[in-house]
Amino acid sequence: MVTLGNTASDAELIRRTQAGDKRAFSELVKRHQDAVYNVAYRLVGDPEMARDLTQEAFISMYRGIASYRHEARFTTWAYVIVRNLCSTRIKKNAREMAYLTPEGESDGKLEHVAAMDADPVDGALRHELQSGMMAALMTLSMSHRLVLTLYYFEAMGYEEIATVVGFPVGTVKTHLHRAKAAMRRAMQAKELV
Amino acid sequence: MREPDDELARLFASLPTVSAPASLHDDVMTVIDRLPAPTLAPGWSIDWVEVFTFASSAAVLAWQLHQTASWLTAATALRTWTSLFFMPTAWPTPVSGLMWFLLAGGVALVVAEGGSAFGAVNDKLT
Repeated sequence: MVTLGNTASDAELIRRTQAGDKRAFSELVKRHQDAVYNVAYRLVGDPEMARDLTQEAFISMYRGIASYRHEARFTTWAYVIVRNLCSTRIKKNAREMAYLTPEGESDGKLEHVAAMDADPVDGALRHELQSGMMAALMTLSMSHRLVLTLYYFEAMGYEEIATVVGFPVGTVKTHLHRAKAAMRRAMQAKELV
Repeated sequence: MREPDDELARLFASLPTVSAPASLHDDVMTVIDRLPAPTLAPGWSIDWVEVFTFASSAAVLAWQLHQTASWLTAATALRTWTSLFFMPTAWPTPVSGLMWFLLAGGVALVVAEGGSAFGAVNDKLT
């Protein structure tokens, strides 16, 4: 019996999927679902919507895997799909992201990301900072959120980010610079820095 | 996560990584199981940009060989051309195709000029 496990590379799993092996794709989903979900969550700020988009993204990947040409990492390809889906979803939404609730009015969407600290005071402060950071992130434009997410959370280089966002490297650097400035302004407005 | 080289990096690092919902994998695979297996694209297809790039740079090389008529410069040019064109990372796109074309032309001119100069010196010496 052929085992897949952690030993097979992404490229190998993709080749097996292209040959019709659905178990190989299952392994790819297991391996990358957290990363894809994280990017979707940072882009839309809503866990339920992020879940839907992640599911939709993996289904799109499966449908399009025959055309995957191994020119970029699987995650880079996945993030391009997530970006497109998030962008389409955001445009469809009449209001700019459901996450943008008035300040002080908790909608509970970030409850699950708060670390359960032993010290309740420390935990509350941490939760406040995390909620504030996410709220500040959600005030930025979609492209600024995307470059910040890929740069800080996924530790991607400029070239890889350029592949995901579809801009030249120079434009990515400009975008990142502006996104950092916008994030600092948003955080200052919320008195986080 | 980035090195904490600035305030933002430190703050972003404080945000926890969220985990995908436990049932996500199963939900995805339930849908996938109902889909047909992927249909592989044909094993080959014509990339006209690549054809144009290959043909144009080959034409430049041929012109260069005709101009220099020197085995030494021809061999050098051929080696340069093959190493440029067959680099594993060379994936011609409309932009990179043009760059390859200009680069091949530039290399051709430099080598052709060099060949001519070498020929002139050689003539004088002999």
